[in-house]
Amino acid sequence: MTDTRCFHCTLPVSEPVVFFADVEGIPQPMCCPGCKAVTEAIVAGGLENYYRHRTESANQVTDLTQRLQEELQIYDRAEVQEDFVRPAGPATYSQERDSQDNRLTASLLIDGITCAACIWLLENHLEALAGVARVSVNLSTHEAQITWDNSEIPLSTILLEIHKIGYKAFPWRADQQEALLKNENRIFIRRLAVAGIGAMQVMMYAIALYSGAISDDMPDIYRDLIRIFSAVIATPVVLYSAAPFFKAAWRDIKIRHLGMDVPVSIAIGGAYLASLWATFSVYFLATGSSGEVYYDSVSMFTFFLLTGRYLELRARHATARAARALTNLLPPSCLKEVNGQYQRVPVADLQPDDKVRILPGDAIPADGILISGSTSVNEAMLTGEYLPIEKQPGDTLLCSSINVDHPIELKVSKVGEETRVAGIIQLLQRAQQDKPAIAKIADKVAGWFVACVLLVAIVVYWGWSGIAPEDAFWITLSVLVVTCPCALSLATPAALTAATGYLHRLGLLVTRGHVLEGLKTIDHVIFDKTGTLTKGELSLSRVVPLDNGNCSKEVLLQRAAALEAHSEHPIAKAFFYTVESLHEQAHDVKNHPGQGIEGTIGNRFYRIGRPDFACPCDNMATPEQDGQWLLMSESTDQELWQPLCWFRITDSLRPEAAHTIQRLQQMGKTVTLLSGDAELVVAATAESLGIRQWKSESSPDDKLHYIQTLQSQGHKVLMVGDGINDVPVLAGADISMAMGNASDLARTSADAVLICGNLERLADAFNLTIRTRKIIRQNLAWSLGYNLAALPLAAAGMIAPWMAATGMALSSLIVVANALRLNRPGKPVNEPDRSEEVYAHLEPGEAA
Amino acid sequence: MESLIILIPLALILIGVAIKVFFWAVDNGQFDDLEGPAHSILFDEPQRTQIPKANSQKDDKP
Repeated sequence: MTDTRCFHCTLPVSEPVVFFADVEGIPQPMCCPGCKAVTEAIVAGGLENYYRHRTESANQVTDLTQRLQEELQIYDRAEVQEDFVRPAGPATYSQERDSQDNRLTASLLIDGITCAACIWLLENHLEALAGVARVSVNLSTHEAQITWDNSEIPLSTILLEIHKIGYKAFPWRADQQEALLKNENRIFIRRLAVAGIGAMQVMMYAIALYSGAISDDMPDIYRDLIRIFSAVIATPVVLYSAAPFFKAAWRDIKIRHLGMDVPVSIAIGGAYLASLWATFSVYFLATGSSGEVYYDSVSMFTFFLLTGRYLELRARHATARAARALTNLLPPSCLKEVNGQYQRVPVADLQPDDKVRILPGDAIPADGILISGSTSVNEAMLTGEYLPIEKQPGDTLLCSSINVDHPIELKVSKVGEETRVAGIIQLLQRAQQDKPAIAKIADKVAGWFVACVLLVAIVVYWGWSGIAPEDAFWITLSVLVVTCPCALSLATPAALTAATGYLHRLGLLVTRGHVLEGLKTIDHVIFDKTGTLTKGELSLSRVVPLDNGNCSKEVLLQRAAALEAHSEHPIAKAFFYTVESLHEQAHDVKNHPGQGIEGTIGNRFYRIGRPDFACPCDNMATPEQDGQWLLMSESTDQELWQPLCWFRITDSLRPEAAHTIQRLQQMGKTVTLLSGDAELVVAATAESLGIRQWKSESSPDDKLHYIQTLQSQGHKVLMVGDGINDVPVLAGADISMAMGNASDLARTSADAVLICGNLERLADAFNLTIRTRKIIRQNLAWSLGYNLAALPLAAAGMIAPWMAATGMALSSLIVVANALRLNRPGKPVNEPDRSEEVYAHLEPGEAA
Repeated sequence: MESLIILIPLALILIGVAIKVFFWAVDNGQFDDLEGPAHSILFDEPQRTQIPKANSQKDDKP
């Protein structure tokens, strides 16, 4: 484990460092060409200050691929922009009405924002572009509004610039749901404001009342005046700010379920009504004064409770947005046949009867009929069935299901926005509605708790009305207020939302509720190799033509690339990068997962893949012992295969992998490497990472079987994978985690997605679950202990309602503050303090 | 003590104004981002040099 870390993303860099970028004249280590390019782009824009201001590290950068650039160009079309672009605001418009106004404003969602410095970097980098007028980025929602002059710069260039400095941009369609969230947020802030301002004012009056009561020299007329004005201020607080509690309590009562809102409402409503009675009964009762007023307690309690709920609301909104951002990652483009050639077009462009080509791993863009090629299709998004379904020509394919095996051609029958949306909504609902079992238990306990409290309150009232009838109401009120289980009701959700939110900020998106809770029982962590422990960016390092072939290296490479063009496997990308353009086309291509690809070029059959697949009869030895070797062979009859050429594929390990595995093992987890690759490669990888258990050459079935065997022995398994072949295993594991750059299918079928691609976050997540559990326990113990201790005192009439209210509000605040500790753990464990290094090369004084 | 007769209603009016201003700010979207603006005042303005378009496109490929 080296101490050198990438200056941009702070991931460890293995020695010797290959990539450097100059920042303020000092060469800084870089982990990959992507980070180097981003750093250089930032420096070229004169924005080095970003590195000084940031508080969180940037995400590791993936390369700008050809496909990405093609996809971004789609956004230049007017019909695509319709959704998220509008003419620039009326103010700008009126100023330049005379000239031809090409100013447009786009709403974008930016992925990869970690701290306020990112906002600064994005705004300054983009505003420096000629033609960009204004950029504003919202740090809470990651939404960006960009105003630019369409005649000077196309939108795709702006999007590319965003990608170039290491972020990802997606069109952001502010739809109904978003408007709803915004509205909910604003109404909540209004309620908070009314409660906060009201509470402050009423408490000021309360001080006057208390001091008057203590010195006992306040004339009744002033006391009554202050009470009346307190009532005037407290009324909107109760009727407006506390309305959600009353509504929820009414709903609870209607469905005969005792929630936390019932006693909360009884306490707020009871204390308010009692205070009103104490204030105004003077005027129509002969006896004069009757009891105390509690306007201050009521207002303060409402304010504190709303604050807790507001924090919860914001965490909930953040999760909802994150889940929606995930659906944005689905490809918005597809390959459509135009004049006999396939072009990348936006999905919105499709019309019925269009012909579309779908590569393995891509989502099907519209409902249609399969016209050529047979494949299996995963319809998990629509049906929940994770096993792929075989499809033959003539079968119907559904929009938003995912092609698994082979490239296929589809004749579009329905361009149903609806079908695709239906699948996405399902995904969202799953993310939002799944409630962890622990939260369900808390709900159930709360129901009992509330029932007991109400029972105790009745008993106390009945008891005291025998002893001291004039005090009975006030003592009962104290009991209700003191036992209000709001702290108890906040204990679990506050901790869970804080933990989920923190994980998301770290770059781990939890899409199903059971993850946080389930992680604690996991004792086995299984990694896939390619794309998970390794970077998944394979490259071709050697080409060894065999003697009996008479083709040149270039021709062999061309044929291999023609075959691999039909695959989404990382290996295929290695060929893409090596071959500039394809001269030959392969037909009837079939993928054999875990083995290789076969197809025809011209009139000959070709196979490329594992030696025993390419040449089943010969037992070919690889040219060198180490490394991963692919064999290409040809045949005229599909029986006798002639070996043609060896290709050596190399893949570099993720720099943080070894350390992550070491941390996991220290936590007592068994780490296993399951890979479809050859034994030598897997053994070497396992050894360099310190993994003691590994299994090579395993097919998807083998992997699933391996996991099921472990589970039958009582182990709980976490699977980390990224490929399509990992999908059954991901579905079979107790908890599954997909890498951020995984295939659509793997990403949507996993319980959590590691968006940032940094494996260390996995170990952080384990740490976090342990802490979350500890904090939930502390919270429950504290709130239950407080309630149980205060109850007898209140029942004995020793606690005045105002003391009860203060205690209750304080106990809620303690619970929320305790939960928020999860959100700000200072530094992630085992990450050195970067600030020193960052500041080291800057002049003193400038850093401040 | 008589001043209370004036001061308390005055306070009431001030509260009304405060809430009104607050609602106006909320409706103007000033509370939509609670984190970003707090940090942005800390950053220096860089000397804004317009990157020529040709230049920015040259290094498209990392």
